[in-house]
Amino acid sequence: MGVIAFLIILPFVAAFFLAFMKQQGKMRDYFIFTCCAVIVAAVLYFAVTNLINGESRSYILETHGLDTAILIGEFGLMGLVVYYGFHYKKYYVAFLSIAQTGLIAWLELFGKKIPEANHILSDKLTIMMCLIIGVVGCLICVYAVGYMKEYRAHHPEYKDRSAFFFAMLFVFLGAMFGLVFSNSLTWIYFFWEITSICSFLLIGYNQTQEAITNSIRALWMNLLGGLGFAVAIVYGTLVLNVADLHGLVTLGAGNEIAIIPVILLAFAGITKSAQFPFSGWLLGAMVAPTPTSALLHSATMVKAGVYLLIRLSPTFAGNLAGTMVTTIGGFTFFAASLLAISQSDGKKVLAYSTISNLGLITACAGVGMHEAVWAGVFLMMFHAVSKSLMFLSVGAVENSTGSRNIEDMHGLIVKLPGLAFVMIVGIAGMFLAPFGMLISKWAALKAFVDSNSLLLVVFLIFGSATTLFYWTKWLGKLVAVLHHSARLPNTVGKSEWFSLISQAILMISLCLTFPMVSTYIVEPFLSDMFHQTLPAIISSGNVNIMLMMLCAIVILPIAVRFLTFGKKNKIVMSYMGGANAGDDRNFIDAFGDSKPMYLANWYMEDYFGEKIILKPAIMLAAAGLIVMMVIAIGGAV
Amino acid sequence: MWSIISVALYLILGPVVGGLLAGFDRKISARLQGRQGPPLLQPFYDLFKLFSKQSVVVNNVQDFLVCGFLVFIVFTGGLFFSGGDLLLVFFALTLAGIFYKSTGSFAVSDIIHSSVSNIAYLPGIFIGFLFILAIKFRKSPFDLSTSHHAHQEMVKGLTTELSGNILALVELSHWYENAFLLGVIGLFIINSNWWSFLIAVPVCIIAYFMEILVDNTFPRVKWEVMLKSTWLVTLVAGVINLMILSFIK
Repeated sequence: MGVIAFLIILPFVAAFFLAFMKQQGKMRDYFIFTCCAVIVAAVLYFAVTNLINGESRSYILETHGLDTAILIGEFGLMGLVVYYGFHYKKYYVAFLSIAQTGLIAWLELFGKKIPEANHILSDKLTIMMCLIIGVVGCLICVYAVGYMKEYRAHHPEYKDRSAFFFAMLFVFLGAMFGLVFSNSLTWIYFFWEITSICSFLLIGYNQTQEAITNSIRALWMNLLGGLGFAVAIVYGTLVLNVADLHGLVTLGAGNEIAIIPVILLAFAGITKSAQFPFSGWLLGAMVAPTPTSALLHSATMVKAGVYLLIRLSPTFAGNLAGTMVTTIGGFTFFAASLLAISQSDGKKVLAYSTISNLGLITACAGVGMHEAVWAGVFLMMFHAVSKSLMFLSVGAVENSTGSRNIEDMHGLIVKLPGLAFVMIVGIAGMFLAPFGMLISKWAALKAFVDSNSLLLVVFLIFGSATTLFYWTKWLGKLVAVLHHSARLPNTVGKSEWFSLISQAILMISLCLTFPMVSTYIVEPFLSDMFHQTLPAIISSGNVNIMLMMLCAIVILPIAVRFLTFGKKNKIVMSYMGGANAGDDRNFIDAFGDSKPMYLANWYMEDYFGEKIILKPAIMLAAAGLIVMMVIAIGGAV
Repeated sequence: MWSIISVALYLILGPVVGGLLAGFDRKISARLQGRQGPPLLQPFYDLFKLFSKQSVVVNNVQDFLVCGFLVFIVFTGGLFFSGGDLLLVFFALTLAGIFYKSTGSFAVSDIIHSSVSNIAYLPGIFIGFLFILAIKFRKSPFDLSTSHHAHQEMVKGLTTELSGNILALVELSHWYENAFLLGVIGLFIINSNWWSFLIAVPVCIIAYFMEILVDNTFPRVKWEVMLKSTWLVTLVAGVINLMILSFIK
C-alpha cells in the first residue's frame, strides 16, 4: 500500500516543485532526472514484489476523509474549467463541467449513502499499466528535458512556459497512476477529469489561436465523456447499489442488469481513446510540442480510455453495449488506417495510426472474450512503446532537419543513421512479422472469427492491408538511398538519445520476452477476470516459429555478409528514366538541361484524402453511436 | 516426420516446379500469339546464365534486401508445406481467417485432414483468390510494370536496377512463390481422401492455364482499376461466402 500511495503522490509533489522552478538550468534538469529515476525504481519495485506475491489485493474500505478531499478537488477542477470556459468565451465547456461535478457532489452530499467497496485495487493489469505509465512516461519526460531546450531555440516566438509544461507532465503521470490504482468509480472519475484538463493545458501550450482552438476541442470532447461517466456513477449508486468498478463488472458480467452504466462508461472510454466520431481532439493535439503528443498517444490519456474498456470487457459479452464498442472500434481501425495513407506529415500519420490501433484495442475489449482481451492487452503494451518511440524520433528528426514531413525523410538512413535506425525499430514494432503488433492482430483475428463477428473480420482484414501500406511507404522512404547524400551533424541531445535508445531496447526485448509476459502477467489476469482457467492462447509451436523469424531477421545481415564475402560488385550509376548527368543526383531532361532527381511517395489523395473520407466517417460513427446508445438505454429502462 | 519430408520436397522441387511452369507459360503464350516460342527449359538456361554474369549493382544494400526476400519467401512456403499456421503463413492476414471458418482450425495440417474439400464451403473465397492470383503471378490485366512480356523487358518496375546474380535470386524467389501459391490452390481441394490429391493437381494446372489465357487476352489496366476491382471482388465474393458460412455452421 505504501508504494501505491508513494507512486500516486510523488508525481504531484514533483509537479508542485517544478511549477516554481522557472529558471531553466542544470538544477531543474537534474531534479527531473531524479524524479524519473525514483518513479521508475518504485514502479519496478512494485511490479516485482507484486509478481512474486501473486494475488491481487485491495485496500481502504472506508475513508470519509479522503472522499471529502477528492470532492473538494473536483470542485477545484470545476473552478478551473469554468474559469477557462469564461476566459475563452466557450460557455458550453463551463456548462459541461458544472453539470457533471454538480451530479457527483449531489450524490455524495445529499444522495444515498455510497455502498462500501475497496477504493484501491491492484492486480496484474494494474502492474502492466504501471509499467507502461512509469517507464514509458518517465522516458518521455527525460526526453522532454533536452527537447524543450531545442524547441525554445527553434521557436523563439512562443513564450517560454517550460516550468508549467514539466509540471503538467508530472501531474499527468500522477493522475494516470491514480486512475489505474483506483477501484472506486468516484476516484477513477476524479483522476479521469485531471487527465482531461491536463491534456487541455498541454495542448494549449503555445497559446496560438490554433493551439487554443484545438485544446478547447479536446476539453469539450473529454468533458462530454466525463458527463457520461458521472451519470454512470449516479445511476450505479442509486439503482444498482454499486460504486466500484470491480463490483460493477462482477454484477454486469453475463447479464444485462448493469447495461446502462456500462454503456455510459464505454461512451466515456470511447471519447477518451479518440474513437470516431471523437477522433478530432487527438488529431488537433499535434500542435503541442512533441513530448505532449508522445505522452498523450502512448503512455497516458488514450490508454486510460482503453484501460477502462478492457476492465469492463466481461460485461460486454453478447450484449448491445459490446456491439456498440466493437462496431465503433472496428470501424475506427479501418477508417483511420485509410486516412493515414493520404498523409505526408509524419506526426499526422502517427496520429491516425494511434486512432486506428486504439480502434482495434477497443474492438478487442468489446468482444468480451478472453482471447480478444488477450490481444487487446498486448496491442496496448506494444503500441505504447513503439508509438512513443516513433513520436520522439520524429520530434528529434524535426529538430535536426527542420521538417517532420515524410517526404523530407528520404534517405534518412544516410543522413542521420542513428535516428533512422531507431525509427525503423519503431515502425517494425508497429506492423512487421515477428514483432508484437502482428502477433496481437493474429490473436484478434482468431477471436473475431470465434465470436462470429463477420463485420469485424472484414474490418480487420482490410484495415490490416491498408496499415501495411502506409507503414511500408514510410519505411521505404527511410531506407531509400540518394547517392552522395551528406551525413548531417547529429544535434540530438544526450537526454533525448538516452530516451530513444532505451525505448528501442525496450521494444526489442518485449518482442523477445512476450511469451513470458503472457504467462506471468496477462494470462493470470485474464483467468482472474473471467473466473476460469484458460487454455494457452498462443501455442508453443507458433511461438517457436516467431522466434525463428526474429532470429532470421537478426542473422540475415550477418549471413548475407558471409555469402557475399569476396564477391566483387561492380558499382554503377542508377537508372533515372533520362540520361544520368554523371553525379547520380541529376538527370538530363528533354531540353538537355540537368534536373535533380526526386522520388516521391504515393498519397492517393483522390481516394483516401481527408476531404473525402473524414466527414462521412465521423457522421457514420456518430449516427451509429447515437442509435446504439439510444436502443440499449431505451431497451433497459 | 511427414512435415519434414514435405518441407524438403518443397525446398528441392519448388524451384523446379516454378521453372517448369515458367517454361510452359512462355511456350503456351507464344503459341497463343502465333510464335514458335523458346524451349521448355529456357527459364533454367536464363537463370544459369544470370548467375554466371558479372554482378553489377547500384548500391550494396541490394544484396541484403534481395537475399531477405528469398529467405522469407522460402520460409513462408516451408511453413505452409510443413502444415504450420496459415495466419503466420499469410503475414498480411488477408486470407487465413477464412479457412479457419470452415474447418475450425488455422493449421494447414488440420485443413487437409477435413473430410470435405474446402472449396465446397468456400467457392466465393476461391474466386476471390483466383482474382488475386493474377496480381501475385504478375499477369495482365494486373501486371503493373512487372510483366514478363517483351514490351516490358527493358525497364521493369522494381527490378530495373537489378542484374546478374541478384536478378537471378529474384527470379528464383518468384519460382518458389509461384509453387507456394499453387499449393494454396491445392489447399482448397485436398481433403482426407488420398484421391483428392489427384484432383488437386489438375485443378492447379487448370488455374495456372486460366491465368495464362487471361494474361494473353486482356490489356493491362491502370492501378486505380486494379485497386477498385480487387476490393470489390474480394469484398463481394468473400463476404457473401462468409455470411452464408456463418449461417450454416
